[in-house]
Amino acid sequence: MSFKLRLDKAKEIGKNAEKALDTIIGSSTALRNSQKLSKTLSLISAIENPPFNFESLHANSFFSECTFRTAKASCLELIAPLESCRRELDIIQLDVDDVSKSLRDTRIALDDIIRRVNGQLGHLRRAQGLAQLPDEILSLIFKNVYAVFPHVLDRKAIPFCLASVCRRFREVACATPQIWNYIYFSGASPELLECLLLRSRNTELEVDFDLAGSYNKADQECFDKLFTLVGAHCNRWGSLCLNSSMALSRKFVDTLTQFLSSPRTFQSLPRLHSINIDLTEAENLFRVLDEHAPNLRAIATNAEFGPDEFDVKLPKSVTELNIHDCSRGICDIDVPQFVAMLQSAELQELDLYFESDNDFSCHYGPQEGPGEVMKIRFVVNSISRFSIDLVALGFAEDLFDSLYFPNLESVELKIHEFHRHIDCGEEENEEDRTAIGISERWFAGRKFPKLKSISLKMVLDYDFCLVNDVFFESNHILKIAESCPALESLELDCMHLTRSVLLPPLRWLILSVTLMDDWLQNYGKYLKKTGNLHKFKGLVLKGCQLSEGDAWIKNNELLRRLTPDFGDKVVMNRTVDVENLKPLGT
Amino acid sequence: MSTTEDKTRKVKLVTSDNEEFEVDWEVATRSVLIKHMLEDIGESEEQAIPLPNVTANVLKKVLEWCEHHRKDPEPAPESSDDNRKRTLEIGDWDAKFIQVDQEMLFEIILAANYLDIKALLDVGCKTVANMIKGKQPEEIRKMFNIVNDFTPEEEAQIKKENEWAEDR
Repeated sequence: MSFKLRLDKAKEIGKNAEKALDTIIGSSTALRNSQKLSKTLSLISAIENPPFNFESLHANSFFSECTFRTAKASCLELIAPLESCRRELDIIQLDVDDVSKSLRDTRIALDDIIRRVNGQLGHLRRAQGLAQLPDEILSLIFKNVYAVFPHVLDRKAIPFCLASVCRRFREVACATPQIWNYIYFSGASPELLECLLLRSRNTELEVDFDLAGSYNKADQECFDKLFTLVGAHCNRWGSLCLNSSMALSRKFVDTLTQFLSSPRTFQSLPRLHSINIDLTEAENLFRVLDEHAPNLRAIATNAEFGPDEFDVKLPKSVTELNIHDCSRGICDIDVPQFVAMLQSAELQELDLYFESDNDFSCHYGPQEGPGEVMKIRFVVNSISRFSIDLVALGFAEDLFDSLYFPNLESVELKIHEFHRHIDCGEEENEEDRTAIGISERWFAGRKFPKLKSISLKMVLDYDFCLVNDVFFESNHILKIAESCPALESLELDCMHLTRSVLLPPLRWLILSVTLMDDWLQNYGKYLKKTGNLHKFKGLVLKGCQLSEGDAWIKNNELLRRLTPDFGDKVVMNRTVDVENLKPLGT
Repeated sequence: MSTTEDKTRKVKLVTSDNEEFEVDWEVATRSVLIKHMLEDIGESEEQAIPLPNVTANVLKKVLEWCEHHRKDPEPAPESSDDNRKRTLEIGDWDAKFIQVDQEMLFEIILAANYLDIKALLDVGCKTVANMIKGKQPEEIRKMFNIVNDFTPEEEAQIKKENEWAEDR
């Protein structure tokens, strides 16, 4: 092949290269614009496979000056477009880099979108409702729903309500025996009792016999039916509550006693921890329980404070006794008999509630005159927590004088002060006493070396307070504290106006009072001055107000006033677990 | 038992969406799961704890709770069938903390369950229990977007049971 032909061919190759570069540029531009992967492949292909062969140029030899010049001119002519091509390629490379970066960014953005969509999908699944929670959590929620209903109507209906929502709820509810353990009987259908007993499996039962409104239904046959069904599960009874008329109560207690003590159907109550039952005719039952209910700890009872009412011995395992007075009219407390009952077990907690409408008297036995017996103190050493709710009458003084629990750790005195002569237009009743005087009586001349917590609640006659300013005695607590060297916590809830009140160093002070001066701020200063503020844990304000001229300072403003003296130790309206000396919810 | 050294130690937690949180040891160990994992890895401070079941926004909320309750004593173990001491009372701070939408509420409950933070799980469950309290089945369905999927036979059985419950 002649040189001219070769040169022509080289020129043709150069033109083809130019066309190829045009194609590359077009493809790259298209790629950049469309971002399609197929175009990228075309581009790569175009770069890797150039459409001409540069070897054809290097293979030629040059024989003459003319030929050389011509060839040189031709090469120079070719160099310029090639240089141009290289620049174009550099530009294309930049474009390709941009495209790659763009691809990477797009990929990251897509990944992020996919993650978000998956997350949202998860949220959507769960947002369908409770049904998406695991069974054990749903079961825990059901237990919470069930356990907090104090009212009978709610408690008996709630498991059935939960089991009526959907299949999943029903399965979980039926697999949660704790929500079926409330066995309420008032002449109910056997199917219901069977259903509850079955679904509650081996859970401790709360047995509630409400026969108060079923005088006609609750015959012996009814009791027999009941004991056949529920009695068969008596090894699961955890608590037993009987609400009935007096006559039925006696009949029931007799039947229960017979059932438990029958040699044919010998039964035990290993899980029974509390009973709520009328004290009437309970002696035989208590004797049986003493034998068959080794873990019985608490007895709550309605009792008439009358002769021989407390002529019973408590089961020895009992440590808590709650007596709600249900006397009608006049009642006479046989103190020696009452104390004998308290001493028949190792009681640790005693709660007494006396109806305010009754007239009480304390009775000390036939041979003793009132003058002598006033000096007698009946000591019960085992009691560490005592709570009493009564009216400030003469009998309260007698009762307080008679009872002494030297090992108390916590005491709650709730005393109602009525001014009966105002209501009925009579002369002042000699029996009337002040709440402050009665509360002082409990402590006077006594020592309570272990007493850490005192709750003093005093309710005054509202009408009387409207027309009279009744003040709290300023050194009342100091006097009480003389008997209680270990006192740490005081709750004072009274309708009295408080002024210049003096308090001993405490760890907790819970107040629901009306402040008539700055005694509380002064107490904070006193704690600081005596170096006791660091031991002070908290001042809890429950509905306190401070009088300032005609205005009442309350809530946050009161909090602000107290902060300089108490710092962050003041809290508002918190429920306080005084026994543990720790505010709840903090 | 935690030492003084533990209390100053920092812990790294990595969520399912790869966000890293550095928190005090005392805060992180409110979670029994994290506590056990830290015990397993020993003193290595650099090693992050992966939490593949918790997203960053939920962990942030959980850690807020843990921070507030960092000084609380360990909860006492609860008897499985002891309903007597259960209440629906929630502390002031917790009540405010848990005022979130349903979606976040369930996320917190799931996270508390996964991380084994009993007190937080309790707060969540009590909150849901409060929402259910006093409502009829239809109201519960509506509130939580639940479909009534009972067959007619099941409906008949449920009706019968509810009649027993009302009748007694």
